[in-house]
Amino acid sequence: MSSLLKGKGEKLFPLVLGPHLKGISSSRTMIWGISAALLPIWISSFIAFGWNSLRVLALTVICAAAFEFGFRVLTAQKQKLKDGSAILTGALLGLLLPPTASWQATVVGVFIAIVIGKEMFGGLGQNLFHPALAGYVALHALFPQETASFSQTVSAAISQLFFENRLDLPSGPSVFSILIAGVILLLRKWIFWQAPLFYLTAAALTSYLIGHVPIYGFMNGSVFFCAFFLVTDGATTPITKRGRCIFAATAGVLTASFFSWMSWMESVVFSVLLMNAVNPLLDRFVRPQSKGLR
Amino acid sequence: MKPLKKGIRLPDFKYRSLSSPQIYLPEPARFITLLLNQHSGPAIKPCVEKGNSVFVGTKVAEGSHWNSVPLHSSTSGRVSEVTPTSIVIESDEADRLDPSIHIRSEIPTDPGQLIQIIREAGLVDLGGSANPTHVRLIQARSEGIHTLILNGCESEPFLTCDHMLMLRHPVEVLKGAELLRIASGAKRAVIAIERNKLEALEILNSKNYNLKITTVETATLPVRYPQGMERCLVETFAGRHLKPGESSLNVGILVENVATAFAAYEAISLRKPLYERVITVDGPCVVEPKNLWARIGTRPMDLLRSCKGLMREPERIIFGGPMTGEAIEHLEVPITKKVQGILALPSELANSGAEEACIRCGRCVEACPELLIPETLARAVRKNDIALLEEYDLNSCTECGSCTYVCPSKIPLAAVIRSGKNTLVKEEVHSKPAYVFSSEG
Repeated sequence: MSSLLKGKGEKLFPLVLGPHLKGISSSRTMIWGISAALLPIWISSFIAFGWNSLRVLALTVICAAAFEFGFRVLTAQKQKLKDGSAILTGALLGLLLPPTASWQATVVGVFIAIVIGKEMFGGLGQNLFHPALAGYVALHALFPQETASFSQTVSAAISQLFFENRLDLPSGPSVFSILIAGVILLLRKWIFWQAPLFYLTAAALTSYLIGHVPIYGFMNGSVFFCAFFLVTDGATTPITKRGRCIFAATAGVLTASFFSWMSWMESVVFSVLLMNAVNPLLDRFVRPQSKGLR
Repeated sequence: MKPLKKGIRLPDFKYRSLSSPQIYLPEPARFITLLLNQHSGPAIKPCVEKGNSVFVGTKVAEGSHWNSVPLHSSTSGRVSEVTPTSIVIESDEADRLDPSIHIRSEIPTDPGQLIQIIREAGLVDLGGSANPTHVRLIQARSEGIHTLILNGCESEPFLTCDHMLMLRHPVEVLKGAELLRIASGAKRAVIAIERNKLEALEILNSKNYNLKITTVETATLPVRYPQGMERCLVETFAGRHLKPGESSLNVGILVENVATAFAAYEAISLRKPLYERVITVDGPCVVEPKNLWARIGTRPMDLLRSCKGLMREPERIIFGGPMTGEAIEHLEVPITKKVQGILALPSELANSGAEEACIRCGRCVEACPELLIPETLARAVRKNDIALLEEYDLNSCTECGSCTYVCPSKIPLAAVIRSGKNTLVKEEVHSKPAYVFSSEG
C-alpha cells in the first residue's frame, strides 16, 4: 500500500478556488514566439542591406532591453525582461527604421518607444499607443532626414512587388517574407485572423475606390507588416473580436486614404496611431451585450 | 436545438478511467462519516443515537420540513458518534441490508406517489448542485413543463461516472428517465449526450429499441465545455437564453442528471435509498483510475486504496470535476451525495504558476459562454469599481472557469470575479432569486 495515503494532520492540500486545470497557452510563449516569427523578415532585410540591417536590429533590441531594465531599476519595480515584450518592441521598431539610420537617432527612438511609449503607461498591456509606432513618430519629428520618406515608384509588376526587397517598409524586406511571418502567427493562433483580413480588405477597397495607381499598389511591405504585426497587437486594439474588426477595417480605410498625401509607411503609422487613440472608446461601446442584459 | 458555440475545448483525460471497463465495488471501509448538510435546503436532525445498530439503507437523519431530504446509513454496524453536523458509523463488515429494501412488485404510476418515494429515498441532484430532486419535480409539476432533459454530457475532463453508468446500466437509466418524466409531468424526456460518448448513445438507443419507451429520446451535442452546465443545456434546447436568476422551468424544461435517473429507478423499483453512487477516482497521481460504487460518507483515503493508492504526491485533491469542483484539505473529508469524482492532480496540471500582466489577447472574451468581458470584470473587481461591474453585468457570470483556463497570463479571472460577486454586489444578489445551478453533469 502506498505510503502516500496519509491521514489528517500529516499532509494538508491547499484549499484553492477552481478551476483546477492549468491552461496550455502562455503569454510568454506568445510574445517570444511573435519575436521569433520576425526572423524571415529580418533575413529578407539582411539580404537587402547586409550587416547594416543587423546593426540596427542589435542596437534596437539591446537598447530596448537596457532601457526597460534601467527604468525598472530607477522606479524600483520588478524586472520583467523575461516576458520578452521589450525585445519584441525593439525588434519591431528596428524594422520600421532604415538600416542607414544613425545610432544616435536609433537610441533616441528606442528610448521614446520603451520609456515613454510603454513603461510610463505602466508596462506591458497598459500602453495606449503602440510603443514601436510612438518611437517611430518621435524620430520622424526629431530626425526628419533619417526617416525621410521612401516613396519608391509603385509602377512595378505585381511579382516584383511581392518578392523583391522594397523600401516601403524602411528596413527593406519583401512582402513575401512578411507573409511567411504572418502565416506563422496565424497557424500558431497568436493573432486572430480577422484583424489582418479586415485591414487588408479595407485597404484594398479604399485604394480601389480612390483610384490609386496601380490598384495592387497597396500590397506593399508596410501595409502587410501593419496587417500582421501592428493591428493585431493586443494592448492597443480592442479586446472584443467585434471591436478588433472595426479597428482593423477603419485603420485600413485610413491607411489607403492617407496615401493620397504621404508615403505608405507614414500613412500606416498615422492611421494606426489615430485608431489607438480611439481604442478605449471602441472597448467601451463596441462590445457584445452580455446575454443576461439582453 | 442550438448547441453551445462559445466556451472552450478541453483535453478530456477520460481514457484512463475508461480503460477499467466496469464500475467496481471498493474495499469496505471501517468508518463512515455521514455529513448532515448534504443537500441544499432545510437542515435535518439525526434520528439515531450513539450505540444504535443500523443496516445498509436505514434512515439515520430526517427533517420535518417537506423540502428537506432524509439521510440513510451506507453501511451496517453501530453508530459510534453523533455530532450536530455528522453521524459516524462503525461498520461490522457484514453489509446487511435494511429489511425495507426489497423489490417493489407494482410500480406506481401516480406522480405524487413517485415524488413521495423519491423524497423518502433521499434523492438529490447528483450532478453537483445537490438540490433535492423531489422539490424540483414538484416545482416542475406546478409550472407545467414539456421536456425533461437528462444530462449525460459530462463535459468536464476526467469524469466518466455518468458515461460508465450509461454503458453498464442503460436499461435502468432509461426506466429511471421514464419514471422521472412521469413524476415531473413532462411530455418527453431527452437524454443529452456529448459526441465523445457515442457508444453510450448506441447502447441506450438499442436498449430502447426493445424497451419501446417512446417518450424517452436521445440527443447528441458537440464536445464543448461548459455544455453540461444546466443553463447551457436549457439554452440549447429552448433556443432562448435564461436571464440571471431565471428558472429553467419558465421555458418548460427541467434538467436532471442521468445518475439521478438511475437512482430514481433504484429507489422506485427496488425501494433502495440513495446510499451509494458512482464516483470516478482519477488523476495522474492515481495508480489505477476507476469508477467505483462509492458509499456516501466514505473517506477518499479508502476509495483511493481500492485504486491501488497514489503513485506520487498530488498537488491538489478535488471533489468533482477539475473546472467547477472544490479542493479539499485532506484525504479524510467524507464524500457526499453530490461528489462525482475524486481527482488527485499533480502540480504540472493544477498549479498554474505566477500571474503575469494581461496582454489583452481577448481569449477570455472569446471563451465566455455568457458573452461577458472577464478581463474588464476582473479589473473592476480589483479596483472595487461597482458602477463598472454593473455596466459589464457581473451577475451573469456562471463561474464556469473557461476564462481562467484560456488565459495565457494565468490570471485567476474566475476566482477574482467570484470574490467580487460574493463581496461587492452581495446586497443585490440577495434581492434577486438565487441561481439554481447544476454545476456540471
